[in-house]
Amino acid sequence: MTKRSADIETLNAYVDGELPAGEAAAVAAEIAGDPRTGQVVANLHGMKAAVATAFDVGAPELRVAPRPRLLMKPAVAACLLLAAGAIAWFVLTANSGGPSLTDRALQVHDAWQPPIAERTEPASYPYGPAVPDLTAAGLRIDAVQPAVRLGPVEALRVAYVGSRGCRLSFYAFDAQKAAPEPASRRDEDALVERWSVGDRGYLLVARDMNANRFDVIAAALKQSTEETAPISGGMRTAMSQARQPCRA
Amino acid sequence: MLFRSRTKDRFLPYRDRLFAYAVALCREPDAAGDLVQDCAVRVLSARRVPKDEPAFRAWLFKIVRNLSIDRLRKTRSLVEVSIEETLDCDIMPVSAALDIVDTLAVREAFAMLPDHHRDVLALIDIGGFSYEETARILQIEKGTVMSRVSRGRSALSQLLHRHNVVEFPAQRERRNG
Repeated sequence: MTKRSADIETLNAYVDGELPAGEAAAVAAEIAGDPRTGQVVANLHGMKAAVATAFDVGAPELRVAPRPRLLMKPAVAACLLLAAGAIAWFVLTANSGGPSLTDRALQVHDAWQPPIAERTEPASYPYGPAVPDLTAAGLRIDAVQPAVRLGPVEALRVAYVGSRGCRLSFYAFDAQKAAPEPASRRDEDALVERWSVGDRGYLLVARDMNANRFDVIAAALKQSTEETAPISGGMRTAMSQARQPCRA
Repeated sequence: MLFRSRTKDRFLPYRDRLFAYAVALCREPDAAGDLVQDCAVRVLSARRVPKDEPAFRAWLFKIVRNLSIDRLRKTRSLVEVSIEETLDCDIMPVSAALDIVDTLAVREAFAMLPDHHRDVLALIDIGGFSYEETARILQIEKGTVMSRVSRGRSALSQLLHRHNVVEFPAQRERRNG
């Protein structure tokens, strides 16, 4: 190990408050006398703060209470097994009615051709905030469909295209009418992100798009819908920097 | 029942930090939420819970880490980039004042770190553990923790510099000058 790397280890330990008092005082004296060491320590502090801040996003609420451990008698266990079987049968039967909202959204997305018949100007957007502007992400609006049927749910769809064939569909719908589904889906080439703000549900789908680019666009739209505001400058920069060609 | 209620009260203050740790390990907030949820179930179902608070905290993070490892084994999708050994690498400047772009860049760069660097930095910078506690959780030597912290931060610095998303003070000065 070189002297230089040992120095950096010591400076990291200093930043993490791991040095004994004597050594810490020696490092502090070195920082005071050497601007370059001071700069390195400042940068290490910045790095530590950056990591702590980057993931400080707030945890979701706990969803279910854990089951207590029970010592069950065989008869009780058998009854519970039967009940579980009946519930499973009911759930399976109830869900066998057709494709999910996400599947239907992907079907609409995939049916890009022939060209979308229903088109309307963004001014007639029925859900309040403006149709998101994704030009920073290299995507322009190809069409706005105010009432696309996704099974029992009616949704607004904004269809975006890129200059080299990227396609993205953004849906807004009444979340109360839609069955709950996983928030994210990554199936082979399909990218899906679903979220809700109040009673409004949102769904973003694309195929063959770079996953990082899709994630950044999804993050920008989530922030925009949560704040009911246009996409922020920071997010526009992030979308611009995340641009990658789609696998057409 | 009272025991579970007390355990839940002890668990809740750590929930946000556990979630941040889980996001750092598995990258996806939804999956991280599941990890914390599973952790809560395990903790509240446990027959024995560490009484000592530091041990309890370390136990929680260990559970999330083990759950994350299980999950990664099943659905390993992240591609690790090879980071050059950075013994003589300068630490690139990174501003502590992060906006959303920088946050995304840091998350992205952090996800690209090798597992052993990410493991150590996540426990220290996000979990707030000491080198000694981190060494116990990861079952490695304290000296190894010290070395990995240093190399991990150097690698992170390199990645951020390489991606050039975070604007370094020198660049800003040049541009403004």
